[in-house]
Amino acid sequence: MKTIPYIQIYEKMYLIRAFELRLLELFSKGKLFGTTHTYVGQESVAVSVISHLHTSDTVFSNHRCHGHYLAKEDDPEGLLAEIMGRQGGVCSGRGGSQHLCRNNFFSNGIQGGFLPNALGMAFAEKYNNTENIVVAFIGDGTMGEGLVYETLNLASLWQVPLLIVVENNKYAQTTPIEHNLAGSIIERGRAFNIETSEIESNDISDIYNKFETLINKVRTSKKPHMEIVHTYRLSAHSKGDDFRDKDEIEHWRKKDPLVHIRKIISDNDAIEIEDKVNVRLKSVEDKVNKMPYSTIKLET
Amino acid sequence: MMLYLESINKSLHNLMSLDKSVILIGEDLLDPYGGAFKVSKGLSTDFPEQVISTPISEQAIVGSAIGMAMKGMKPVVEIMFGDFLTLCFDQIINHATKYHWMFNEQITVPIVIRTPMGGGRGYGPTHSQTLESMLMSVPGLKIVAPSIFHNPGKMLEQCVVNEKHPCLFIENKRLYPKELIHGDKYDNFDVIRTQGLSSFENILLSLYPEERADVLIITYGGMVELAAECTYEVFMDEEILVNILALGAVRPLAEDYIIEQAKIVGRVLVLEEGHKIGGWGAEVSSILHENIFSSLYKPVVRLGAEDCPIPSAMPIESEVLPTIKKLKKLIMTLVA
Repeated sequence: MKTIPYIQIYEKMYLIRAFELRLLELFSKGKLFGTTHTYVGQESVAVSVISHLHTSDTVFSNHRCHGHYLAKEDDPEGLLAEIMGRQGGVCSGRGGSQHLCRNNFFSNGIQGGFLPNALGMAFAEKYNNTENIVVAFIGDGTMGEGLVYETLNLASLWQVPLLIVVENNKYAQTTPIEHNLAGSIIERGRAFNIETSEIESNDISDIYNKFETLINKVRTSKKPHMEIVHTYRLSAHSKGDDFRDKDEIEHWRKKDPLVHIRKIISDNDAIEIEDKVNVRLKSVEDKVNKMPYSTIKLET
Repeated sequence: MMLYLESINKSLHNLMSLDKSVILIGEDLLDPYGGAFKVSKGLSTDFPEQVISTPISEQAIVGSAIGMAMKGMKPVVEIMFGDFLTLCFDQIINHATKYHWMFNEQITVPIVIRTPMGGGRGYGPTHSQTLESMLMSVPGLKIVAPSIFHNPGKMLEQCVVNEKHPCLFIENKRLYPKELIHGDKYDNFDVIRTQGLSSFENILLSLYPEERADVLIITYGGMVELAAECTYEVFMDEEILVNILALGAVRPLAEDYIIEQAKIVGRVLVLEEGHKIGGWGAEVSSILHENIFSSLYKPVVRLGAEDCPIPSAMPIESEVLPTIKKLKKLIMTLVA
């Protein structure tokens, strides 16, 4: 186990947090196209997983993909431009918030739909004898999709280097997990004979090292693993659809992973990072605002 | 002499021996069974690593093939019956055909999905349909359907080797045991071959190519033979000359070629085995009406399956599917 590089981690987590909060402001001002699903409160998961990946590893994410994207690609400019429909967008405004692609990062907006795609990629990595792994991020809501289980079955039969991270934020849009999920997520993974474990914490110190171990294991064994992280999103699913109990949200606010990590590092370091990231995001926003809107060429 | 089935099987052997990244994935593919229609016979013996026989999980089969293709492999998917393609629609519509464009052309998804369609075998409502027209409106999808006048093996090789984007490869199941017609003659017909814009051959069948035909039938795949049989009958009985245009690609349509041929004849019948309502023929017909309305002597007429599921019992199955009798009747209305 290496010592945890808290300073670097805080910078990444703060970048995601500040980006998402600003996005919500821009959304309210009508500056974005479409809806947006922010990752506020779950930052520790994306950063813990992605910090341990090689550049040749692949990440497949879902509708709530900004945090994963920023953690992997460190590209707030391409992301903001994409969501604001500008030519500098990472997919030139074709995809928008939930459909991102850069290097080995992909996301798609169909619940569970990309999971077999990630499986096929992991199959190809093994078939071609590489050291690469594939990570797929899904949520507890996605556990309602039948395709998840077709994929788990195949992942187990094929024994491929696929890490499935289930971010259990306890809500499928507005529906609480009690109304959504029978039995347990962990038993679902184990029923397919896939090694499955869980982390009952949002705290970086609990998650970071565990994923280092897990990722090494998937890489060397070339076998699938499913990891459930019990987390919580502090913002709405998208916008204007938050009907959760205020006390419940307050309870989780106290467990905010950014509050946790900020207590570990010094105030001076934290402020320095926050200033640096805020300046960076301000200049990104200024630059994106000057970009022309996307254009399209259609065959007639 | 080469059978339709043999041609595809040989082509898969050839593709796999030349390129290890070509794999076949689907259900019950392994020898000695060799696939429900025996298209994969011998492959798992010769190329054990390249044939992946899967659980009954059509969506995950297509889904994982997409992932393989995104990592540089060339997966060929076999969906046991075309009817099961409905289970794969999300993967085809929201994944395979979306990624290239949606991700700003940063990646390609070169998968080929082979599947048998069509009735005439008494398999009943969920194993006899012709469903490719349901995918006509999907941008980025190529749909290919060889007839016995085409070279299915070569077309499959073209799809696997040359195509960068998803291809749906329709094999009409009645054609598997049939002999392919390679030359420029078929009974009394001349077989005139033209390279289509999609690089898949379009074929014109004519009893008297130097004469101007009375009617042009535009069709593809499993309906071409039926059209030829009817055409011969109509000529012998009524002295009506019908030409047949057998398209290699269902989508994109060889618009210019269809328009050019239709313009010469002026009376057009569009024939398909799929359901007429909302069918492929509606698109063909619409293209003709939009482009050469004034060159048509009569409105385009269409024949497809009736608005009813495909029954199992042969006597009633044929009442739902296109027949020579129905075709002949429509031809007569065009020349009346």
